[in-house]
Amino acid sequence: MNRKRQWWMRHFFIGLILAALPIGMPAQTREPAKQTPREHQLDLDSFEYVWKTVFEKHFDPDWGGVDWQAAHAEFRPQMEAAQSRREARAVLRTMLSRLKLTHFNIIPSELYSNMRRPESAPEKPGATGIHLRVIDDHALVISVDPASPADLAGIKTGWEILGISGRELALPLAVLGKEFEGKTLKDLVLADAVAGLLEGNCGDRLEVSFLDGADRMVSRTLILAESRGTGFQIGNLPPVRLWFEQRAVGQGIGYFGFDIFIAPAILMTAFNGFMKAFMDAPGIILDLRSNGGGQGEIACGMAGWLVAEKGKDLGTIRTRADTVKLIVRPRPGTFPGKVAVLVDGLSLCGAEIFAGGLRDLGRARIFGTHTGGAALGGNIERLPNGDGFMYAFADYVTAGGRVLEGQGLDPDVRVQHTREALLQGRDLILEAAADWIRNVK
Amino acid sequence: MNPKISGVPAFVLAVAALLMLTPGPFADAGRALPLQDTLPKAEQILDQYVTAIGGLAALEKVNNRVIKGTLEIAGAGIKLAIAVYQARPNKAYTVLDSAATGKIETGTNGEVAWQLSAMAGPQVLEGEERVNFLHLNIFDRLAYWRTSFKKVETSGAEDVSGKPCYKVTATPAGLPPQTLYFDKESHLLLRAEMTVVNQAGTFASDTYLSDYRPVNGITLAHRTVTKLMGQERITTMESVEQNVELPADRFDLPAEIKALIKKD
Repeated sequence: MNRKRQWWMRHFFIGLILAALPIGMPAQTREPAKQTPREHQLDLDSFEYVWKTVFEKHFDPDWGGVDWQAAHAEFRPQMEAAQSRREARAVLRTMLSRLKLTHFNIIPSELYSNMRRPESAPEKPGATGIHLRVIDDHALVISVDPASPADLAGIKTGWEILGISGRELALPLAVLGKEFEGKTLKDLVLADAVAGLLEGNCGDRLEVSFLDGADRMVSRTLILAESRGTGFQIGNLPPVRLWFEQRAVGQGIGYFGFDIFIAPAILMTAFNGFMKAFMDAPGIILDLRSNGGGQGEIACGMAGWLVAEKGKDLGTIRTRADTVKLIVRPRPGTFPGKVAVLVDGLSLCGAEIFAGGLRDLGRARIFGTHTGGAALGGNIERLPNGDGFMYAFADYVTAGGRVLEGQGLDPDVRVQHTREALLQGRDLILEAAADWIRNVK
Repeated sequence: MNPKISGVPAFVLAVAALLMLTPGPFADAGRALPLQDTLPKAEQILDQYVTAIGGLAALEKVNNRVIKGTLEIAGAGIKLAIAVYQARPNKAYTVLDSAATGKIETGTNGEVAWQLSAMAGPQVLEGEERVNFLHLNIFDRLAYWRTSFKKVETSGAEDVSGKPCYKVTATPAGLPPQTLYFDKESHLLLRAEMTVVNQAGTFASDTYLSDYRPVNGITLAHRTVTKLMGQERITTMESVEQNVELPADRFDLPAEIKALIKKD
């Protein structure tokens, strides 16, 4: 999992929960000590900016029933009493949490300064190459990046992660799992809690203990290396990495997986090439697991390959003043075959809109598990104190009139990883989708 | 007013809106003046505007214009490079580019209105979206207001950014009316309210024009701030050339657009 992509979710949810739990925060969030008077004033200015932005631009003029005027009266004194940037951020995050929506968070300014480090800088974000999910309170390896530190250490899919750097996971995961039971973001929160411990700087060493395929407890020392994909920094987004993969999956079925809707010049060029290459395939599989969303119009552009009729849309986003349809504009040649979309609890926002929109148009069948339910139109601005401020200015409604925020999407075919299948190197969700394309008329 | 800059193609605006973009601070919309002010006729206001930007004789010597600059999405940290090519009477080609959006091209040969982008592929505009696009790309459309609009009338007076202005409601054929605000003293256009129509919906657009500068005898606004879909887009002209020797195929339809037309 890409920490730079998911860190805002991690901090929003886990920051509220993990203060008392022995699971640490990623290294890049080390925060400065007590502030100067000028820094404190900048925090106060940032408070007012955040409050006013929500007051004026939240897509619901009633702020979801929250008394936002009262929130100012309540939290302004707390911000005045804050003695560090960390405390100031906590005040803002707590105030924003009253809205009970995703896409409201504070991004530490350190993340922006990190991206300006030269390539030669000794500190560079690193990863193990492990991708995981927490299933029934067990952190299971679901994939390993080729040639990654994990791959080189012989770690296999299906291995259970028991502990990282001396921290055992069982109890914290059980506590977090209980806290988020029934919530659409549970899978994301749990996966991110573990993934955050597997990240650091390139060259860092991590001791990770596993239950291997023979149910033996084993330990591996992993030296972090650059994570997969290509780094991007666009506007006020924190640095993100785009990964995508395309291949054939048995009997000419096309597979395209990617983890964020960004960098259209690169992603759409690849996707356009994929669609042309597989135009005669019986079906294609679009893998949106771990896809956190991004630029919505890329989803519309991709859908243009799959929807032949004009005048269709992937749903509607609504600001206070406007309603905008996510129009699909058909390409000169559209793909006629079957479309399977893979999702899971880490499929968010644009991924949910894309999957749900295609399904509403009768153009795709969804496989996997329930999605995260984080579908809003958001923006990121820089605050006076240098932090980023993410806020939602639009909600999203499906073509069928459903709000996905807080609800998520149920797949048409619910398929979950099992440890047994993972140990055999099998991806049951992918297999189910391929079987449908091959066998169901 | 430069129609291309102040009326950035609707698709571009819609695309920009779908990015995670932010609205920025809103300019002062001005206060209404007492009704007892005498209001001149719209025809007079528009003719004074034409004189103020250089006069028809000077304008008619300009056959094309190439404008280069930037389009910034205020507050979002996103800036696109923009290049606009316009030719009499109604040909246009615009290209925007940035890491956030990829390349976005729009154009018209006076008949077909089209868009082409990395994100959405080729598109041919239809219906009111097409009519809107063609209208916005009439070369110096306000200077030729008599043919650009089927009806013009003075609709009041209001300050814009502290400057007293006359309001003119101008209605193009087949499109909603626009409200244009002309500075009483300089006669320049300071604000334009329009309705942007595209397949994504119908949106109110509010553009403020400033930094008027002469370019070979024609006075053009070098900065526009457009509020649309809750966002603020700042367009800044960095270079303007007129009567440029353009490639013969500058306004030809791209191959992808021709293929789309052929398919339909």
